[in-house]
Amino acid sequence: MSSQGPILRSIPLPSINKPEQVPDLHPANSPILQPKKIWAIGGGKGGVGKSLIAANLAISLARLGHKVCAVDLDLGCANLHTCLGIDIPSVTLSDFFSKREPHIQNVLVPTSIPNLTMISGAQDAVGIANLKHTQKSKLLQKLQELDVDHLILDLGAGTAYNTLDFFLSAYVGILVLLPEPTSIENTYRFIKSAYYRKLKCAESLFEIRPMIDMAMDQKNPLGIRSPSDLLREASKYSPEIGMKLKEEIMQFQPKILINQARTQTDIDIGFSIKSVCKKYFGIEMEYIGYLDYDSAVWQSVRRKRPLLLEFPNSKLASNFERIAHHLLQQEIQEQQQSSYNEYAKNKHF
Amino acid sequence: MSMQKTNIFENETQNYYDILDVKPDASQTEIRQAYLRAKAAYSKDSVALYSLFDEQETRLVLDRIEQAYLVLSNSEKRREYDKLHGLLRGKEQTIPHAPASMYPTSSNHVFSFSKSSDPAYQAAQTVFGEITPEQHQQEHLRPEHAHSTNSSVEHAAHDRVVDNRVSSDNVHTTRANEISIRRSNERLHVEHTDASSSRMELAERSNIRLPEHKDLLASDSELKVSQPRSPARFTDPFEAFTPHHENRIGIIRRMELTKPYELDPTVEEEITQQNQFSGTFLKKIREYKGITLDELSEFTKIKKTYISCIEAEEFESLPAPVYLRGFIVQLAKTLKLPHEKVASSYMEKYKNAAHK
Repeated sequence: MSSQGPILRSIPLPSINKPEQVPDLHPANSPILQPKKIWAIGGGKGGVGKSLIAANLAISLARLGHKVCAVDLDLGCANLHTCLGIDIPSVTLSDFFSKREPHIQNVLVPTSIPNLTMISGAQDAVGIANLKHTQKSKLLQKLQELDVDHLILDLGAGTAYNTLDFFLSAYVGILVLLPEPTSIENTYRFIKSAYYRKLKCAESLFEIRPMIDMAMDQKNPLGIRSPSDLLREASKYSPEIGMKLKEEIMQFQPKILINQARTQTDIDIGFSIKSVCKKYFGIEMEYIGYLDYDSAVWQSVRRKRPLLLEFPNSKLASNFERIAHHLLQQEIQEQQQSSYNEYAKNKHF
Repeated sequence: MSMQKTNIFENETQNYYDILDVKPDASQTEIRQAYLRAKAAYSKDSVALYSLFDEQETRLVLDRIEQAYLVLSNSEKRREYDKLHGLLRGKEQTIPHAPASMYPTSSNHVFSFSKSSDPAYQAAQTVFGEITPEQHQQEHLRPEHAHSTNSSVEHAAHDRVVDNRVSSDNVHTTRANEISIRRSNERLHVEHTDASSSRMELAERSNIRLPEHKDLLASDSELKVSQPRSPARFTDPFEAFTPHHENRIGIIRRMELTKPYELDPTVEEEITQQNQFSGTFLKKIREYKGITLDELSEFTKIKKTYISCIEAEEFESLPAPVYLRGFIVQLAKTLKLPHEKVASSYMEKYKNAAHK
């Protein structure tokens, strides 16, 4: 991968050789790209760079001309605003939940970057991290009503139901991890929790919900220790349910992003994790890339300035831009595919 | 411990291709890369296994990976396995975005060869038995085969022997092929009809982007080959999805520098007779072959000043002997001279001059 060159551009990348092969990523020029795609940035462990990545992906997207709102859903320990170079906002999600601000638009905070706004997580409200189910649903619904193209959710660490639900509600779920055993272990715990949460919430698997509940407990009497045991038990119960379970499993496709990669071995860990998860969970994860270890990060954090603005020519800036491009292109392709499928369906092909 | 625990969908669709996570029509290079990747993922010290798989489970997975690779890396065994499992490998293989008539499928090509009246093939078949399509592909991959249209019986027989020797270890076969592609200075002559199949296979194996139809028609007979990369370098995830993927594959360079020149029997004779290769002689050959200093420098990436100093034997301006030897070898290869002989005689001269 290239490590040099001026990276940040406020306009879409010029196509160098084959203009017809590089889709224009500006939303105005891509009518097929529907608004409000949610990208959630999560991962089991704290301190792996979730907020930093959320902030900089949001900036990358905004610079490509998309209307972006970065939402800090690390409710107890919100600090996305610091990564975006904003002082503690006067309005936060606390105001929304306490109904001081009935409209979500009122808690939007402008940033210095065109097209980018943010919603800050709650600051002082004790216990705000423990959202009720209704509050969570309302928040997700209201976020959908915002006049933006993309929502970037910065999730907190851990495997609380709120975090898992926000992650599962996203169009793209990105798991950030470091190439270290602690981070990998927590990422697996996160995947496992989100996986079982997804299966448990699936309506088609209503019949085996108690079995899924049991599987979440490692010392269950049925001896279900891993997803394959669950699949076996479910198929034993009913082959049809087994098929449905398999379908649900295959729909869960989080993406992984390695942060602080120092060596080729670190980069390769992403592929290994992908392969291991496929074997263990049966899920197809996509390894969307890695971010190089760069001291530009701590310098920008100390200066309370966004990395992409402080070090626009750093290697990391190019990493971010590539990831944003890649995800956007994927979105466009999926959109095209679904439009075609719909068209084909209507035409009875 | 049951194997079920190590793979969730184990009972359903697991074949050797699934185990290595490759498609049934994967090339040998792809299979090897997938194997290396899988080995790395399940190696003893792989951090990716932490907290999910224990040692015993890992060993079982590794055994299955080895088992899968043992079969898929051996073309004969792989063919049998495919037949047994109803996997029709090779029949639908086409180059994406290319007109079918332009690139015959490998199987087409192989069958047109095997059923043809090629005397060399028939003789080899009589002596050594049937040549498998894969072995035939391997033969075609070698540069010397790319233009050996009039191969003799001995030639075919010799290659069959070589094939037997290397196919015992397909790892080495693949590597040998890769190396032969990378290092060869032989001209890879591309004819639109005859050699397009071998060109396709060559491209498949060495990860080359084949030019579009229109590019091919416009291009001359030189083959564009990407810069060699180690298998480990294929693991850059960004390279797979960058918008300018085609441009990022590597530096494109020509395989050799050849210009049309008038054959002069006396000079050709002189080249074969020559034992002492001086700078003047190198210059003479370069000029005889109509290659300018600029072209030679551009092709070999050796500074023009160094080449002139080598030709003028200005030893004091030349770099350290270890570099100089490399330069001489490269120049000799480009000029199609016996590089070992050229390098040793030139270096001898260099040493003598240094002692004076």
